[in-house]
Amino acid sequence: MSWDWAYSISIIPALLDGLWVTLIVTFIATSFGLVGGLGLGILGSMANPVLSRIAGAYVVIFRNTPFLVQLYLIYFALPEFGIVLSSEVSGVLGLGLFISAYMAEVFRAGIASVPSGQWEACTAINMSKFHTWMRVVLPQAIPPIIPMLGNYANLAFKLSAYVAVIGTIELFGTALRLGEKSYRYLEPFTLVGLMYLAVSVAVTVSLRQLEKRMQRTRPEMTTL
Amino acid sequence: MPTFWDEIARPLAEGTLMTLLVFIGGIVIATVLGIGVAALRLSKFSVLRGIAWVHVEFFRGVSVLVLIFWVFFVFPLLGITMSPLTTAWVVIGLNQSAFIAEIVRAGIQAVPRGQIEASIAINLSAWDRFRNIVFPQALPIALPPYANQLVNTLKETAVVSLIGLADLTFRGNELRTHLGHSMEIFVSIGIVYLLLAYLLTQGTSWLERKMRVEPKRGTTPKQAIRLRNFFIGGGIK
Repeated sequence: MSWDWAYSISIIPALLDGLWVTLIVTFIATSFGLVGGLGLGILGSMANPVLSRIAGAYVVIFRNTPFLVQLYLIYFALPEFGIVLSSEVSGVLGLGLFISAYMAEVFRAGIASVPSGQWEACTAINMSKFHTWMRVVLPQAIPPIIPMLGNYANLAFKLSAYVAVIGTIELFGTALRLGEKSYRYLEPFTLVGLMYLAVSVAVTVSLRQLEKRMQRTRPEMTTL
Repeated sequence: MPTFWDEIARPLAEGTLMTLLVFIGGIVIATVLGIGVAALRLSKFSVLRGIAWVHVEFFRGVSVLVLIFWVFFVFPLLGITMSPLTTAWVVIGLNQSAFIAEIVRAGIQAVPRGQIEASIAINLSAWDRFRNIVFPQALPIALPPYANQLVNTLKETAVVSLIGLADLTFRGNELRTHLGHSMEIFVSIGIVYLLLAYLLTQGTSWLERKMRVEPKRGTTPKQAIRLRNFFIGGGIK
């Protein structure tokens, strides 16, 4: 079987539509993961043993089981309890829950890297807990971990192909449909592979640049 | 309850074995290939470094789901037929080798430069330098991220269910279509994966503890050398 250029060109618009859906799925899931990960990261760094255990258990469970199994659980098992979600919503929710477990660890490490003197200083000047988090801890914890979070956004992008398995027509799902319709798998799968590769490598390379730049222009501590 | 054993427990046990089979084959290929690629990345020749760089970026960048479908559907069209199990081994091995190559490279590069200079100064051959100086120091550095990667590989094996290989995820999905009760089935499967991941983590942290060569409290230098010789073979007697 040889490469059919006319066919490849004819499927490109459909694949680009699929890529767009993939990017939307990735974007929503990553936003969900960021919010969830931040919440879990804060819970995980709390002194309260119950809350930090709960956050820890969440992270362990979601990081140590296959994403596919989690996706099946959401898509096939939740309807047994009357929660019926469409394949798109299940996919985005599953990906968001999975990525938030990874991001929680990153946030927790970022929070742990804020020197304890900062906390003590806030207590000394009688700052409320809320203000301590919002104005002192998080502004110092988050910037250094941005490249790491970016890596996990990239992971979310690559994993988003799995949502095709439960029936979402995103980039990979489009390729599967095209293959079934025309019995030509060479062109759709190759083009889709190249699209994933292009986006992912571009993100990786720019994250590396960002990391380098951040290391160069780390703000100096203000001294008296 | 014969039905429970025959209809539920046995398929899941068989699935677990298949998952382990895929995992072990994949991780062996990935580790061997990963070490080779790491060696190329640290080579003197820019062409070899370039090849290794392309390998790492390619296999880290492409989604394993897309890769396995590509190999499974496109290779036969090009005249290369592989069984699903071989496909699974090759794809997981190639994909994970890129991550392992980076772990090995980072471990080797973390060995202080002075160690290498010192071993050149005392006229060790390149092989002795690697085997007795660099490798024993790189190993404990690389082991924790390697353990992490073992768990990632284990999770990744679930993808083989989509090309029809009867692993744990596949069996679970099959049971779901026959019996319903998705919640119980998928939670059980999740627990099996969690247990396997736990065993992997415990195993590697045991290795890590054993591998600490510097004399600690209660370990005489002689014992330390014996431990070291046990794990990486004798060099200094």
